[in-house]
Amino acid sequence: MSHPYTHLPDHALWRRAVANVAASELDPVVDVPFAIGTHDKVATSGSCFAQHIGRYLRDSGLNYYVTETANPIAQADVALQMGYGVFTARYGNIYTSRQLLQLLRRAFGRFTPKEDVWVESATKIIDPFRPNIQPEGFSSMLEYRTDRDNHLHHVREMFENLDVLVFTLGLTECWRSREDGAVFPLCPGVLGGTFEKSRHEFVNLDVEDVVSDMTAFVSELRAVNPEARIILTVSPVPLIATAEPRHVLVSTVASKSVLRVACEKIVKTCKNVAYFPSYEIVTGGFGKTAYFAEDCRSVTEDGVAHVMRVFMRHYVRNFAALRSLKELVGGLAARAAPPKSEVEQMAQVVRVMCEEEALDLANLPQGMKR
Amino acid sequence: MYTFIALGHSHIVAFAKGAYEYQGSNLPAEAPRIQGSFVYLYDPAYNPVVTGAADALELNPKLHEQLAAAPWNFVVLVCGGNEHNVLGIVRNKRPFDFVLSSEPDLPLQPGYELVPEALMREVLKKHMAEPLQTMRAFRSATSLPVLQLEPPPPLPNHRVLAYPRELVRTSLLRKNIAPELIRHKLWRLESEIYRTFCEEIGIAYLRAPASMVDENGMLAEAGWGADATHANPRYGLEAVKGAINLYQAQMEQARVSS
Repeated sequence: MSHPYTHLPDHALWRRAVANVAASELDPVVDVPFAIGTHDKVATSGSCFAQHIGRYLRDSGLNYYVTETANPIAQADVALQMGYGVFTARYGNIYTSRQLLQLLRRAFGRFTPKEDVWVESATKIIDPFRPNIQPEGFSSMLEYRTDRDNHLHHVREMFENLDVLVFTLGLTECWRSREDGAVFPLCPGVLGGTFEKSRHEFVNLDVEDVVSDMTAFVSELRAVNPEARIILTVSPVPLIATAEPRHVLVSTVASKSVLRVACEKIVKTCKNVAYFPSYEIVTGGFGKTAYFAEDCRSVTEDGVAHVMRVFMRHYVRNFAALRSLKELVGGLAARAAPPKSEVEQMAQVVRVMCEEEALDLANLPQGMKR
Repeated sequence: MYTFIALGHSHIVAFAKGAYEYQGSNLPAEAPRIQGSFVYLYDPAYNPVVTGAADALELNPKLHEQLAAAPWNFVVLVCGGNEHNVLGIVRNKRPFDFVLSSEPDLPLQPGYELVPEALMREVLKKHMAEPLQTMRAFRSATSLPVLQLEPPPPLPNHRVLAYPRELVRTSLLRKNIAPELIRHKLWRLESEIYRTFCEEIGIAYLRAPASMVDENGMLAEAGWGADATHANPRYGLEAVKGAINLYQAQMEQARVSS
């Protein structure tokens, strides 16, 4: 007797697709609606898990798109520490669909939040929408405003020119201004600003909210960049805290479920929007994998590597060829001395000058004890 | 008679020459006499200056010997001090400027990229890592009073460009020199980092002699050295007087508080 389950492919059967597959080989991606070419500009944004995705893309040989770069005087690690290159522009973590939509609208001048600066002191100015981007804040209002405007310029550039956006949805809980609905990545008062019940309210986005935000986002993005492709993922990282009056684990499952269902709906209705199952790869080991660190929250490097291996295999056109080329180029680069930056050249010049100066020390008279 | 040991990088030369000038000058009867010893920290004999992890720094044993070589009254450090020049002398491909929070009203260069002061601070700190580590190691190695000299201000642009045998001129200055104001800001920011660090670890910080800073915040002509970044013995002499005064003030403060 024939029925719909008679000739199911292996991937549709738990025993064949999960139970009998080595943990590190679990691959829940069946089909992708588009591929990424090596010249495609790939942008990233999202919650903290998206930082891992950005890091891998940077090193992958793909065209990882960064519009907001640090001035070349900054050493690579300092630039990263200050949030340059972590994502395509220096926006820090974007946890919610509402935040992403708001960023796009701010970049194109369609929304200007009323509460747009937190002044901690004359020399510590915090950007409410990037409170983590500089641990010490901005040192003056002029510096803050200039940097913010420059940042939004680069965000605009990113939306207009990207080919693929990988966006990782992290949270549904957020804090909102009662005045104009602006959402903050962190509750006011945590890293800056002052929490006031009369001005700030807690919001927990539901499926309809996320779908509505993301649908609006896709539509507004396509208005400036009709060919943009989008890959949605859900961060497997649990909530660090919940503002709902319930257990943080229950809130975590609720939030991630909302985001997962919302992705399902968005992918079904929006063309060239795909879902990539990072969440499932990290959390779906069912005892076979341990992709969370001791804090039960951070994703281990093995977990990230597994996610990105699957991502590259399915999305990157000619992945095998790209990998071979990258290894070849990497090998050649390792044999060649890296070119010196202007600052490195100058450091060398100053060092020589200092050594010349020090020669004089040996020529001093013996009148004083040496 | 005050005895001291001074250890440091290239700016120690002006200080050492200044000490000789002080000793050789016609001092008034009440002026303290000095006896100093000078150690250049890039001398291969003392390298590596510091070993070990950041939380357990070990000073080179030969430097320990130097510290113990005589009953010094105090220790003078002249660590680092040219990091601002590394970033500031040559105008970058992406010319930058920043708001110096301690002097926020200083003008900005039109058309230059405004970078956050916090970024500049981290960039400088990274260049200053070795001298800062050295200062920490010396502080841990002795219970004597320790003074660190503020780096001399940057030399004015025309002086940097004019010096004929200057390596900088032939190698990089074709790309144009950065504006003096930016070089001044970099010096101030670097100095602030040294000063804050000294406060944290218990080292007294000796400011550059006020008479050696011109109206533009650059090294006054009286203090110009023989190249693009260093000061001369006259500057060193003023720094020596400053060190003596600072030591005396510290002793007086200790006497009053006891």
